[in-house]
Amino acid sequence: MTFDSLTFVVFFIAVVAMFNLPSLSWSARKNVLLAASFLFYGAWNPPFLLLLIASATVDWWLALRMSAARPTQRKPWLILSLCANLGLLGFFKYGDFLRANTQSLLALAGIDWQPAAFDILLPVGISFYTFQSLSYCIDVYRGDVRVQKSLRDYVLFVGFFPQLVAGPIVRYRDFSAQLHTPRRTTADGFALGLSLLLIGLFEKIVLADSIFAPVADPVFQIGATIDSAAAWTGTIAFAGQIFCDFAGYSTCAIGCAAMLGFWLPNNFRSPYAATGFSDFWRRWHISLSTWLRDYLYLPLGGNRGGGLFTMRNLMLTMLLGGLWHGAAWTFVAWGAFHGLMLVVERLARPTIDRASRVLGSVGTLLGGLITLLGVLIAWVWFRAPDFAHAAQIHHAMLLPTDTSANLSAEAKIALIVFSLMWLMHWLWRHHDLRRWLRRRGAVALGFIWASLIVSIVLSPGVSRAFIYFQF
Amino acid sequence: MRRTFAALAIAVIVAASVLFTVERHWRGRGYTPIIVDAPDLWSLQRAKATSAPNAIVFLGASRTLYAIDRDTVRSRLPQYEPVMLAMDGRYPLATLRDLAADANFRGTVICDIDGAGFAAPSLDMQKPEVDFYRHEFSPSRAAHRLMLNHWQLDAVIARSDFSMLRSAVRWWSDEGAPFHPYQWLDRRRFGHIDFERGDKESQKRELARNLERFGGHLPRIPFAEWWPQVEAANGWVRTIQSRGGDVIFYASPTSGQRRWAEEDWFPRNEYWDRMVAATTAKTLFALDVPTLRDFPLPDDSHVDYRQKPAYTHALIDALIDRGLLQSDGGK
Repeated sequence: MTFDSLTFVVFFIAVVAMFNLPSLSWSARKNVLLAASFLFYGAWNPPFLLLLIASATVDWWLALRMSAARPTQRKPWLILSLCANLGLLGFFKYGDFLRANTQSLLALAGIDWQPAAFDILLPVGISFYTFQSLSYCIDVYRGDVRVQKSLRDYVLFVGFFPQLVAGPIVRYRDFSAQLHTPRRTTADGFALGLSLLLIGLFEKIVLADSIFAPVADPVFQIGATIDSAAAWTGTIAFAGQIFCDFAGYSTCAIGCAAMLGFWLPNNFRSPYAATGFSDFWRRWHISLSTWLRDYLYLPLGGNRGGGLFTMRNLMLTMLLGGLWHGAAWTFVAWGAFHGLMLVVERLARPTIDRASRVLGSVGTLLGGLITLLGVLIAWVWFRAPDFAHAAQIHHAMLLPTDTSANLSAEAKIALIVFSLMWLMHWLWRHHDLRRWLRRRGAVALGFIWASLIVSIVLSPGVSRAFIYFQF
Repeated sequence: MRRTFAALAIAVIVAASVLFTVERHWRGRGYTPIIVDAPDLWSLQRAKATSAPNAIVFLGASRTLYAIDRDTVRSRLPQYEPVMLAMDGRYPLATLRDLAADANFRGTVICDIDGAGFAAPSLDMQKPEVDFYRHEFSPSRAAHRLMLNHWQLDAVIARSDFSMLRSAVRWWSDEGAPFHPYQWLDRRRFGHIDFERGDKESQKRELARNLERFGGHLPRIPFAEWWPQVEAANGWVRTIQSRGGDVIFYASPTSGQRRWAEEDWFPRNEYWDRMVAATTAKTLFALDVPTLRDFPLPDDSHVDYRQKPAYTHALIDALIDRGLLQSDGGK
């Protein structure tokens, strides 16, 4: 089920109504949420619901064993959990990728190996829920959280439907208290949640699907003819599409949770206003970047071992971060580029700081624009179907070609909307949307909701799957 | 609490007023609600082809999509559940392949196809919809689509031509008002063309332009390049038949210059007749049936919606008369 479907509207109204039945105990309300989460996930592909339950149950049991063991004897249980989670991810997400690469390597060695294609269907949200479950096991191993004894509560943590398929990746420590304290829908929570849900749907349906995708998609199609104008407009449109698609999903998730009385962490904070790549990763997919920091970068040693060691850790983290997004070398290249930019930024930090002091706010703006340029260049690898196509687009972007065709009205509108979005990001760099919404009065809120509803209803068209579902 | 309820009330009143005004604006200009074809609408019917053991599935392109009258099929062949899987502008072999690959499909297929339909470029024309059905269609999408059908049948603004973006693009590009469609589908994807509203001469002109471009003859596809698709299709036919299903290849009627062009492009004795000799499927060539051969086709290719029942009767008569279908419940 997706947030932008009529099915979800009916489903969510029913869930909110049942969850708030006065006669239900807190335990019964949690059962309602669990059943709703199963229905939400099972409506995609019922057999994969069993996979989700099995995966969560294994981790729940391993964590119980881990907490019962002496600290020195916990490691085998953690290794089992890592094997189970990464094995699951490896099989479903990277199986075909590994097969194809092994085949290529063997071909280089002159060995002709022709295995059958796996043709495995990727379970929706598997990258998100395995990371969420993995972080819990690692936290239990480290003794950072107390083990969850209730299987129902643990499966609800992993499978809580608003964040189940595309995040935010929630930490157990942030969710456990919410499982223990009874919650209900409150008037303020409902108003905030509805605002966020509508904003998320607006981002997805109006901006990502209607305005940006139709301009981006043709440029990234295999065989497309690409001149400089098309390369730039397509890339800028994709930058708009991926932000509105993914941030839209996260905003919907946070909004739905708020309407049920739950709090989920922010996943985006005006990322296109970042003034540097490290700043970008503090603003883009925050729940993944903090996950990678806490469970990969820091365990690798972080920045404790000197310059070269830090750079190695940064590169490794970003390479794996790239691979997390998809089983293709183009995603690895995207991660490598970001890793390289983080390394360069780290090396140039003294110069950047000096320049910032001299140039003041102009320097900040310049830093923002340079970062945006780098992020745009990197998106080409993220979206292109292969390296040849990415190189073709980069060539057209960086070495201007004759632009014979005029930009279409759709492309011009996409560029204007992206510019406005960037301006919003810049002006809202230090603002918190939830706080701003909480301060609006009834009339302002009513008109905001009405504008969003009208825009959403008046944007019928092709319904596209959320991009991050494939990850 | 009061703030939330007040905001909700304002939002509902303002949004409903704006949407109602926009709806009235477009209705005032003569637009009416229509069902918009989409992969999930097609997938709903594709799912029915599997779930209904007595499905009679219509494959093809626009000639079948807009010609078959569902009520007539139901009344003449009450033992069958009619399912429309034809697609405007796209030949059907990919869907035939998909039905063959579906172990649960045991129905009867009436596959409207001509010589061009077996050419290699036509093979995967319907594959995007098949892929959508196989990989993206879900119970949730099905429920969404059923609800969307109601919205599209009730509201003009459910059509993407009236979206904010399209309106902005029209204004920017100085385009005229949205197109008044003269062809439409019902929620089960059975289509209708009203030639009194449409430009029936445009298709004829397009064909004449094509013929002119190729010096009066459409470019022939060599038989050797054409035959492999026929062999593949015959394999799919055998698979369906082995499960108790049936396939009828049907070449629908054309008239005027189009009939001449098709015969010129794929001469019957060189293509169709050789396919008939090699296939285990049943076959029907409409031009062999006087009622179908002489059926009025305003643009030389399609049936006007008023004539659909008569056309469907003629087709079913031909199928029954030749023993290709039985009307008493058996196949």
